[in-house]
Amino acid sequence: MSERINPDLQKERDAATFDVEELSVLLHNGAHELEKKRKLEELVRNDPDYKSLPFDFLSREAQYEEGVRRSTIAVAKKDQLDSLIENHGDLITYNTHVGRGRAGPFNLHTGMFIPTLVKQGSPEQVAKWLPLSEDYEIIGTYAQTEMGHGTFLRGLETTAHYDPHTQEFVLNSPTTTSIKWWPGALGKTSTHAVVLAQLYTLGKCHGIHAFVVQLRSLEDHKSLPGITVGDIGPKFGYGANDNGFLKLSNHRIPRENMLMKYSKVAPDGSYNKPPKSTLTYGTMTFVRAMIVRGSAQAIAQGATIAIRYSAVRRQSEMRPGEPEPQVLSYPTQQYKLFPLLCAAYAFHFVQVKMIEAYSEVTELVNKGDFSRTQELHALSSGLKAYTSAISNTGLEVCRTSCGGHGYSCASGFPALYTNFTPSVTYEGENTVLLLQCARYLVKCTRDLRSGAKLPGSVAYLSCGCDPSSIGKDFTNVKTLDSLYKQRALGLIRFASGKVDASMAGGMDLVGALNESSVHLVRAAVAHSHYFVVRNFFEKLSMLASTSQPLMEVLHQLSLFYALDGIAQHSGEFLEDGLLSGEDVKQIRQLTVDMLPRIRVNAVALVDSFEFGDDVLGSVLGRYDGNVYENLFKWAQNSPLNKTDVHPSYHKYLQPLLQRNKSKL
Amino acid sequence: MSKQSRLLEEERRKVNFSVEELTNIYDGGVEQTEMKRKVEAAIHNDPECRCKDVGMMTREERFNDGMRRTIHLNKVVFPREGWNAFSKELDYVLRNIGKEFCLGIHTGVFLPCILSFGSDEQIAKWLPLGAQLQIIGTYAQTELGHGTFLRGLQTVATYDKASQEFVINCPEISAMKWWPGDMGKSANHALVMAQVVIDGKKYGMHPFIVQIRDLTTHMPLPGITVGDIGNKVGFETTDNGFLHFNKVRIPRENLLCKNSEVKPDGTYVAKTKDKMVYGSMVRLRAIFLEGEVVSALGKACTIAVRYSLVRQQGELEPGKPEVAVMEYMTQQKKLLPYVAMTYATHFACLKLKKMYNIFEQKVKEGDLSGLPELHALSAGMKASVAEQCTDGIEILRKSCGGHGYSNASGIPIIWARAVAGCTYEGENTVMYLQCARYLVKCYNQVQTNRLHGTVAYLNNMNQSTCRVNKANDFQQPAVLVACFQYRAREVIKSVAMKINHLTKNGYPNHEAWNKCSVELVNVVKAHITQYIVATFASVIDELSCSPPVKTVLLQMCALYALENITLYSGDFLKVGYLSPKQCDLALEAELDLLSCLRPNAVGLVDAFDYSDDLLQSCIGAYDGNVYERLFEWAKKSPLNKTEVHEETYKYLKPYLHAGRDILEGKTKSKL
Repeated sequence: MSERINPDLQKERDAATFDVEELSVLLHNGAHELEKKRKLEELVRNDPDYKSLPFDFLSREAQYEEGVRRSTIAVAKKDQLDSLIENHGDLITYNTHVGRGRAGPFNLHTGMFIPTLVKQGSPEQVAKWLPLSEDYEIIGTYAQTEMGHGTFLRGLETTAHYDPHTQEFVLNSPTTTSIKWWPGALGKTSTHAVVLAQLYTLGKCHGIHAFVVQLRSLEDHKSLPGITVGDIGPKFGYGANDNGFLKLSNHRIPRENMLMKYSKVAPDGSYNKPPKSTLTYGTMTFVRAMIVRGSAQAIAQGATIAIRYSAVRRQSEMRPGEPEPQVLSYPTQQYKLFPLLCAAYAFHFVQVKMIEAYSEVTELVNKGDFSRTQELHALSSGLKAYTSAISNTGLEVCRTSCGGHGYSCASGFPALYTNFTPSVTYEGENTVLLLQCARYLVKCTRDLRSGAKLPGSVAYLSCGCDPSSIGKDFTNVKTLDSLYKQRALGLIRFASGKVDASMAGGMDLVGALNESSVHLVRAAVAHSHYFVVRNFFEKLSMLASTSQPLMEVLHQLSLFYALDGIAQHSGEFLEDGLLSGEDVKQIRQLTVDMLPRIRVNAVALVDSFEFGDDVLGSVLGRYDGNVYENLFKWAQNSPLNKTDVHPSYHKYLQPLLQRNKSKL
Repeated sequence: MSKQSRLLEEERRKVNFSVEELTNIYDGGVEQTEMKRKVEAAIHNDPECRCKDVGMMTREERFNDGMRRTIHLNKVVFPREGWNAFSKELDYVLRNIGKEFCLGIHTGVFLPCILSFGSDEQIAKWLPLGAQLQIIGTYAQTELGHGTFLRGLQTVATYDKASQEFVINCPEISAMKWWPGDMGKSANHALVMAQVVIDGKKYGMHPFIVQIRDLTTHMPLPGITVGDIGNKVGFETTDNGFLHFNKVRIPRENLLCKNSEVKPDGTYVAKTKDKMVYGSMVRLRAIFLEGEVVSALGKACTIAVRYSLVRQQGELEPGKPEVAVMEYMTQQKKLLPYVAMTYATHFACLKLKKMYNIFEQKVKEGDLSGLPELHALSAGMKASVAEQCTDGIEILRKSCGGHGYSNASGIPIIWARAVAGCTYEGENTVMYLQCARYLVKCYNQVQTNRLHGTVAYLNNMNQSTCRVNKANDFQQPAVLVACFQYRAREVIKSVAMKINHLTKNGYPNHEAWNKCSVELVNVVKAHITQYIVATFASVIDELSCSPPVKTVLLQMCALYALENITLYSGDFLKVGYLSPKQCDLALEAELDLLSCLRPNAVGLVDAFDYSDDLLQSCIGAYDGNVYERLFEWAKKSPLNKTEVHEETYKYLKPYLHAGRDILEGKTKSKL
């Protein structure tokens, strides 16, 4: 790190009203965890094996190669890190730094292939495949999505026909649309895949099942007969990942390769049904919880870069004759960035909550109690869609707030954005997830009518609609909570009322849901938004040993988050008569008045996230703020600068330029 | 024929209006469509002109190929077709070569600037050289530390009387020129904006022609450090550059001196200020918005709509076959408002160009009075249209699900270029505030003077409310225009009153302004949306065309307006023009419209007339053959050149061989 800190940035840090270290400890779940994170980060930073050009200057192929190189080195070194890597979270921290925040080639191996083996494999299957996988002696991926089908699982077309004579499954991709498409590391890296296919035995289809399929020879890595596998080509981001295609042509695998913890096919071809089919939801819920965490981190990174740079960048005159102010001093800039800074904190607390909820429900399920799985599924669907959508658009706001330099890869934003944005379409496309969440909300309003008691996150649906009970003190947490509650209630009741009306008119449920889907999406967004706001307030009220100055700052962030949310969605609050036009004016003014108070701590608030410069990958967002000299250094790496005169000059320009040299 | 192609063919049979007629209207007349297609054919039929598959190419490959095509166009195609840099076909040439070309700043900015800033002798010297590509120039204004704020630029040009030269210098690192296109590797000259200093006195920013590379070897000249600034979100074919001057001497004559001159003895002579510089900015903005932003949205719409009509996913009714994703109301609500936005913003851009042409006529008669209005409108349009459209492209990409994320969809590449428009040529927030300044000024005049033109709607300050009581009423253009005028007027009024209140209470003007700047941005958005709705409505009104085309255009206009009402219902409620009940009706009207428009969806995007060459999309091609195209495309990925990717396999091999030995029973697993 450079010895000199940009004085503007230092000034911001000195002005902070709270202790950054205290907040860092809070955000990282305690001093011990923070300490480990710092050590792992430092190990990677000081390891010469991990030095390379910025990824932005590598061709896609070179990025892929660099990704594999780093990941294999990390595997080799992991044993030496035993004392620091206590759990899966530590491993993710280490790998994040190794990959400089980008998805590595083994992510699906550790994140999907191994967990699926463990959760869906019989004890013998686990005993056979798990040790090999954990030692990277085979590398697996998870092949579900096909060219023609993603979110709608039942539509998958890959087939697995059981042949009792040879006791094998014959796997096929019967159509172009059935070719497996998108799975990470499928193209060139993986030797094995868990393949999801329609199971046929004794002439009957039994739906989607999971099979372990070897794709490539362990001898020379060549693809096996009946397997056509390759890379699907460049994408918006994820350059280092070989997302792949897989076409199966009469490819035979032994009967034992169907994962048989639940469903079983006996040697004679008879099929045994699983006792409970909702068990796989657990994995999906967990993945969605992880996306909520990813959304929190992405927007925190975006805010870090944009706020630091806005403190360093000076532009224009605010008052004639005075020096140019920091861009961070303009209210329009603050109004762009501070809602996102607050969202980063709101999302941090909601991802903590989401993971807590997941653990609680998993514990219940292990005891055979499935009563809260639906609630959790709906909550995770809504929050995944809501937080990822806000972070996604928020990152672009952060980028454009950096002006022209935000457009350069040096800002870090292009990589950050293009690698984050698939979160809104993968693991359940956002609109589909919001509709799933809404469907549950509609169901809840019906259950209420039959006198059911609703669980935690939806318990409020039994409250009455009573706008007049809402107070007018808009800096009061209770008032804000009621406003969000009433807005969500109103939209949920409106949408389910529409559904009921359509059904009363003779339409079936599915048709009625589609006709009202635009309203349902709004209802699910309002519900998720309310959950985030309420959770922010609740989490803060539960902080016990936090110092007064820090509490004040966090309280301010939660207030601003709630107030700004109302200002941004004022229509919905006005439409339901929860607020008057005057109220909205007052609330907007409150947010504008709070901007300078948040500004005092803005830099310290992003410092507390503690993203290392390597993970941010941003010249604009460097901790030391030495932006301009490092932009110049960075640009020297451009491949076009390898030679002073670019080869295209000799090929194309020279003949033109020198046609009539004498004229000059 | 694939199932997907059949689906799209069936869709086309449902369309109930003449696509060709709509194309003609969109292009601005039958002759325009003809000219466009002629240019398109000339380019399409020349194999050297065709775009390669850019989705698979590295940045350097795209730069090289862009240069190859640009030179081919200039050297071969232009003479063959009888085109030149000033012929009327040029707009269509730019449209049809796609975005993969070089030297855009040379032709688009460097040459026009010589015309704007140069004396007659200077024009005579430099323009022919530039027009023939015998020199290549760039326009070096933006610096590492400064962009939109012109007066903050730090590069200096100090006059040395003794040698009658200017000494161009970057006193610190942030003064380095940064970002100008064509500057890194291509240009050998630059039009440099620098602060003139004579005898220690500063005279402000002036334009200089500086040679930066040797005419024979192309090496940078002494004192010059120049290169490429590295990879960006998009603009791969442009070598945006850095340029540092260490006391570089240039002759006095290289100061472009149409507006001001420095005599040999160092006397500074200011001539009349040429306001037409601002005029040409208006023209550039209209061209930029249409060519870089609205067209990008139109392409993304074409891709997303066609794909949504052939992508089948999920069941709408249990047990029935899967349906095209377009059947889902939520998908219609995502896509069709952006089709409407393409039409609405396109016609607004056409109108802006027309206004500019009229203004140019008047200037010839010595009448410059239209400039402030035109300048404000173009600044507001620039920011608002660029923001709406580029946001829309991303939404359309995501509406294509996972496949939208692949370069094969074409949308990542379209977005990556268009989105630069939000920050270049005037950062959007700064543009919003420039327009706001004009609006507030107009509001303050309205009590004493009647306003005309684009702000005439501010004259009527009567309080009223909307009278609509059924959803269908919201289909009428007059009703919608009234909604937007009322909202815009009220938000302008509210912020103007706040500013006046603050200044009366002792705040200096600039402070009152800064305090209200957040609301001022909102004011401009309201004004521009109002302008776009009103313009679209009046364009349709003046149109003589077949009833089905008129109907579908009216629906587009209503959809654009209703989407904005439902998005910004807070504004309409707050100013008291719409009631909560009416907001519900507006949403109902919008949903009804979506169902009406659904059968015409493919016709509406076909009418934009973007060829497959221009879309470069496997999922949005005209024939709808999505999946086979995707597979063919992927096979060409560089990673697939060899079955085993040796460069990475070398890292994996030791592990995998251990796995082989265990599975084949040669060794035992450790665990």
